[in-house]
Amino acid sequence: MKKVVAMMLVLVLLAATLVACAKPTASQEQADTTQTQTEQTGDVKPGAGAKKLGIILSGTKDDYGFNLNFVQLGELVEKELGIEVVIKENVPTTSDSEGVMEELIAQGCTILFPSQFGYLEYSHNVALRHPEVAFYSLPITDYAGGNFSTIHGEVQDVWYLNGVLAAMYSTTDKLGFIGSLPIPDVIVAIDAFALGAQSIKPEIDITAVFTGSWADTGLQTTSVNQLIDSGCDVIAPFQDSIKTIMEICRSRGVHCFGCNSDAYELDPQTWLSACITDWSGYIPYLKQAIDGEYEPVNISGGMELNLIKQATFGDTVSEEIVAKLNEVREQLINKEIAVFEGPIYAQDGSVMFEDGYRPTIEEINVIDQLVQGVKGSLN
Amino acid sequence: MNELTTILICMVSAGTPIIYALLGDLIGQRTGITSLSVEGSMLCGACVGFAIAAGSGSLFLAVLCAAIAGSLIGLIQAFLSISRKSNMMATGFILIFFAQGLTTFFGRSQLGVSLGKSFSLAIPVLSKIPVIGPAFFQQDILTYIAYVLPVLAWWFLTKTRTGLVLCSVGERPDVTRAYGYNPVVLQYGAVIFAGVLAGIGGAHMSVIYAMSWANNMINGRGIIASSLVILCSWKPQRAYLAAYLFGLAQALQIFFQIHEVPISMYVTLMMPYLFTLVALAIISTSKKPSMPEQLKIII
Amino acid sequence: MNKAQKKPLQLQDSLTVRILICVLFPLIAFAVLLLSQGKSPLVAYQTIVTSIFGSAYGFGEVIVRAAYLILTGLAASIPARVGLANAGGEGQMAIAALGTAVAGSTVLANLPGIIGIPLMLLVGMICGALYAGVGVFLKQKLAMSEILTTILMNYVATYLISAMLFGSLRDPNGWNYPQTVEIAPQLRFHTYFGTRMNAGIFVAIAMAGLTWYIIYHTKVGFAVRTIGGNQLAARYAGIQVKKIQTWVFLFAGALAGLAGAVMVVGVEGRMRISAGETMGFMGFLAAGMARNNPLLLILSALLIGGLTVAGNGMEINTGLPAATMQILIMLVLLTIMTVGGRKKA
Repeated sequence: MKKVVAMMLVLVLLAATLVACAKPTASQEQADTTQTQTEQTGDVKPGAGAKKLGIILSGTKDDYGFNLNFVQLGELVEKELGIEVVIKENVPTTSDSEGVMEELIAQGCTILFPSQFGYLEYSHNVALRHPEVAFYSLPITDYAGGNFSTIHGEVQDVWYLNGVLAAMYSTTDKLGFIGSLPIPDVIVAIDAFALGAQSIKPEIDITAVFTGSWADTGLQTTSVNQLIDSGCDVIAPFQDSIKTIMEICRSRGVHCFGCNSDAYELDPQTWLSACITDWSGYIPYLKQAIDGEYEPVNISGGMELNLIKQATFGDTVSEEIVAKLNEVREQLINKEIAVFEGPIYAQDGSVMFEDGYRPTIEEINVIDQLVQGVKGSLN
Repeated sequence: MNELTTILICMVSAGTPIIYALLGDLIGQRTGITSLSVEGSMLCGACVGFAIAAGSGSLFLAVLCAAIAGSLIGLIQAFLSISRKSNMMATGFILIFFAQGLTTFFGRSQLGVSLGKSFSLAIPVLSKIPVIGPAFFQQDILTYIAYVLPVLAWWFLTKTRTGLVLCSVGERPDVTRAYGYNPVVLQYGAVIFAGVLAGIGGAHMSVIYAMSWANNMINGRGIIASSLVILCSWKPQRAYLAAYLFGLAQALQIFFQIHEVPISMYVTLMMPYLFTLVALAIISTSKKPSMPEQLKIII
Repeated sequence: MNKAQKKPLQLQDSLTVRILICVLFPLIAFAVLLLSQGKSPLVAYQTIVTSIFGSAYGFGEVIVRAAYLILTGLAASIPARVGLANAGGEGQMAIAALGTAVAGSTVLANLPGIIGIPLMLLVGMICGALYAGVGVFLKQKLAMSEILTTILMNYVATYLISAMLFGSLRDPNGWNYPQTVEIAPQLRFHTYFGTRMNAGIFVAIAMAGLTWYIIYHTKVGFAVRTIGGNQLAARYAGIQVKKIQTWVFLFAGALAGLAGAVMVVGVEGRMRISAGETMGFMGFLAAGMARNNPLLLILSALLIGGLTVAGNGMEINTGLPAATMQILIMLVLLTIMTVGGRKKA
């Protein structure tokens, strides 16, 4: 009996504190909803007058890789557009992300930036429920429309440039690539890297390994050490976190690329470059949304649209290489050359693209073979 | 470099952290307490060890602090599972997630830091032996300690009085008490010691093996180490087999891919677990494992 | 326990004090961390309430998570009753989710929901039971420790699923990303109130109730409890220990599988690489906190689900990294373990 009374008392106490705490926020919420209602009656476009932009990450902010890239977007948005940026880390790429997006919206974000393909379907669901919120999703799809935009920076051009750099830089003519899982971006990156390297040294040796995860430090270390032991002197990772890879490369005296974010300052001597998102190409769209002129877009492009770029060059990259890279970059932007331009052969010698054929971005995104000359397997 | 040497180097360096955590938990389990939290101890050891090594440049200091950090997690595990009689495995999981949170939060300042030096230490004559020399004797002091640690643990558990009493806690605590020892104190000691060793293993992982600190860098190796104790049948001398088998499989994960062995990449990535399963099958059929009585009761 | 410890224990035996400690200690400890980071604890703690009770959606999120946790928790706790340990809920759930997703997009795709959904759940249960069956088979035939095999099989499951999702089971229209084809729309649970809440929670609670009933009110349950008490005595009493252990383990696998099926039928609609990650481990944890009692498990699952959702809200509100929320959640659980951990002995 005593226990029951005690328990009741505690529950009442708890309930009282909860109510006391909840009150101010509840009224605040009311104010918010009335605000959105007035907005809707005035037929305001999605994201108009946004005060907060929400970025949804699958990892943690400071990984010197994929996720840091989005933190840099956040910094740029705060500087250029003067709105608050909220970053939510460790969101699984499953329907659980819907709950996170709802919470972001409940806390006042009216522009959302889901960072992964895995969020695509779920962010689209949320977008249908919240027409007042503007969405910018990454990969190119047919989801775009209404308040849902997709902007996709094509990675092949810059990875091709990385390949050119690697081939000119390497003295052993052996390059190592550390992939995570064979998702489209990674496959395209390996192929483009290989084609770029082969454009300089046709017989160059490229070895690709997969770790099966995005940031397993132990497997990264094993991979780098074994690749270096087998003669590679340039390492290109496609991993979320690249710090460990850089440290091992530094201690073994070889050089490495970064992945998805500019980590030049980590070690300018070991760093070569990286393929990173050029956020300046995104800002105009975000600005448009804030100004109340949101139009759904479905854009896919590369350096010509300022969506993607090559990161700072490391201190050891010579003038000659930079000159060559600038030349190739111009050719890529002017479409004089294309990364995937037939004839391109797969590992087993079969034809991937016919002579002279330039595949569309849709065809490039579904490549599921490695090009000839790459050692490694996707299965 | 010789391919065999490459594999052996990777095997030894991947196996060393496992040996530490495995032996620690083995001693704990001999007293009847399983600590899955060695994963958490490894994480704390890795984070603290790296911070101290980068800050002070002293490996000794780093290992010392890593051991202390690991022992704190061990202390919580001991308190909850001995004094509060909570579910050991659940406690272990909570402590793993707790350590992940703590190290990710407090390790942020270490993410961009470089050690700036290597702690490897070649043994003069032995390291000149072809093939195995560079693999086994061009490592570092923690690895050399790991070579003798299983033997030491075997000697301690079977030849010393303290060790025998410790084992009796896991078999018949009433007997221990009859001989005038307090089983609770011994259990505390063993579980905290498990944290100490796991912390050192974690420091090896961050300071020597990966030479950097990354979030959640242990990534399940502690859980594996804790369960490999079963593969060892609670015998410390088998730690060599269990840890280096696991290390070898990790080395082969990448080796097979580099040398284009025609096996699916997913199968090569599965290898550490498949190897362990096969080894367990062989060991289980040949002999009945000698599980401590107290563990049986609890599980 | 010696005498010196007795007095404080009496104080903690009072339920009020226990609950107060469980609520206040983590909040105060975390407030220190918040203040050290220059954030206001009051604002942060308000978010706990608003993110869970502020909207139907937030509350629904708690329920959705609780459903998985109850099921995987049951999968961990039932074998413990017969002296086995199932640490493989993670793998069983994932394999079952994959199986369900494949079945729902192929053989069962043309069935009406009323027949199709129960079949989907059944497929999940069978897949989970089969995957758990490997563990218990190795245990009974080769005397291999089921703890180690189930832990290892979690990892094997991860790579098996990767191999399938990147290989033969990949959605041909999925832009080459690793996911299965979406299951037929009539095979999905209805969601309520515009949230992700669905019938999964009823399935989970029903299973918890069923398990509780079987264990405490049936003959089989009596046998199970006897085995849990003393295997030798059970054998002398003529109970077929091995047979019951095997069936209990398969049932546990089936429940973990059901969690996977509920996930696919309820919210996911297809299988992806990271779907349901850590739910198996969390369920294990929930089971341990509930001391393997099926009804208490519902509470602990709701608690863990609520803490996760509140953590998300607080992270967004305070701008602190996700790790801090993990610290808070685990502080709460550790305190509960400390304060609540004295019954068994």
